[in-house]
Amino acid sequence: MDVAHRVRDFIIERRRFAGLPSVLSDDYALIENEVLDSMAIFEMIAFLEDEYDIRIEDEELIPENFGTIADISRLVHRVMG
Amino acid sequence: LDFSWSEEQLQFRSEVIRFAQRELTGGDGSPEWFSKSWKKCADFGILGLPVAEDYGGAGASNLTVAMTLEALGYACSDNGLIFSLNAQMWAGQYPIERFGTAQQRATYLPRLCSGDLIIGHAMSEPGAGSDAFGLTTSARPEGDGFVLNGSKTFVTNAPVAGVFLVFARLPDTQGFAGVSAFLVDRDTPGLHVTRALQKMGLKTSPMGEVFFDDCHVPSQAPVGRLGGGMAVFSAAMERERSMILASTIGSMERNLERSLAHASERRQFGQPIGKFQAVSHRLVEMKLRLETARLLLYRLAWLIDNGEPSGLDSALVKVYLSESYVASSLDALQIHGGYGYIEEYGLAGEVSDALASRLYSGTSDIQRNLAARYLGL
Repeated sequence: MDVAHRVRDFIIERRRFAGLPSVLSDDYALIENEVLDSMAIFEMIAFLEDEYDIRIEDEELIPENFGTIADISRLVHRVMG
Repeated sequence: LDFSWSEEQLQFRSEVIRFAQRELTGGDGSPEWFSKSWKKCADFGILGLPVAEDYGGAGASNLTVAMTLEALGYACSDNGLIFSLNAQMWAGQYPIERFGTAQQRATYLPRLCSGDLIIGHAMSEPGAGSDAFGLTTSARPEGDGFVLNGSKTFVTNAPVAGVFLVFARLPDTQGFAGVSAFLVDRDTPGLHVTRALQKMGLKTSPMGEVFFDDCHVPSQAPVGRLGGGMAVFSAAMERERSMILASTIGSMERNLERSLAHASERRQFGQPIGKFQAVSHRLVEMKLRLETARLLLYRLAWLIDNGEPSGLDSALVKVYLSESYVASSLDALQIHGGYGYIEEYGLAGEVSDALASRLYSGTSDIQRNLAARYLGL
């Protein structure tokens, strides 16, 4: 399963996404639509670090890396090298 | 895990205790005493301990820093002074060293380490406390810089600070996105430090409010990337919540020793009160909290020193140490009976100081929320 798919499942199941799953496209604005707030980011990071056995440094905590599912997917791929 | 201390570390610990007992006791709580004590701590090397040698520090490990702060807390009962030192080390110096430009590090860190400059961390606002990223202070790009407008509260060291690490929001952003950190000198036009806040405890630690009224800062002022304020804040808070309560281990040990002595000397109904299980069990609980807290702290410092993930552990340490400190301070007061309630004994003040530890650097409730997130809940 690709990263975007896993992140989408995580948001729907663990973050209890209130909208229709079909709304949650790769480019859906997660911050502006309040899917991810400053606390939820830490839950997302813990999930990504555990799921992909990676370490996401504090320096990566910028909107460009968490703005959309596509951003998160790119972040994971970059960190995984 | 290896927490064994080297001879050098143990010797340094003894030096810290001798220094604090010689130089930091008998204060009158005045601003003058604070200034002198601050400079003495800087000269001794406390402030610069975790900072790289290139910037006037010692580059010590986190385990060494934890041990040092523990020793300071043991030998110095001026918890307000220690709180102010911690605020500067973790919420001021650390983010500058980690995220600042070479120029910012060179400009500020040596003077912060030497005690010639004090920094205030300006994040909290009247309407944004636990929801820190709900802040409204704005940073509007203008010309070759930014214009800050807004207000900050609960800024530790504000009345004596020469520079502030200010968090503000870029236009048309919400949540944590768009929050940026700026270094703003106190004498910048438009920056106003207002009334000093009087607190229930930690009375020797100055705290105040800061206002920004069309405060122009240069393009070199941002710390870290524009819009990357969350990275700066989160890193600073994780390190702060990891280390800021190290001194309370020393405080708990001091209060335990004092309570043990009192329980042995104080006689009621023909025997030392320590012979009564109601008292002895309380002392055992104090000892248990002390040793558990100490191990949690050392383990966390070891994790940080070894580059291991420490987000969950820092939240756990913050919760456990603060709540142990409160519980043990109350126990110490109770064991001393009516004498514990008399101000000159110092135990009542210890309770007031301890209560603050459940609030600053993220309340215990926020730490539990954070820990729950790390557990996937």
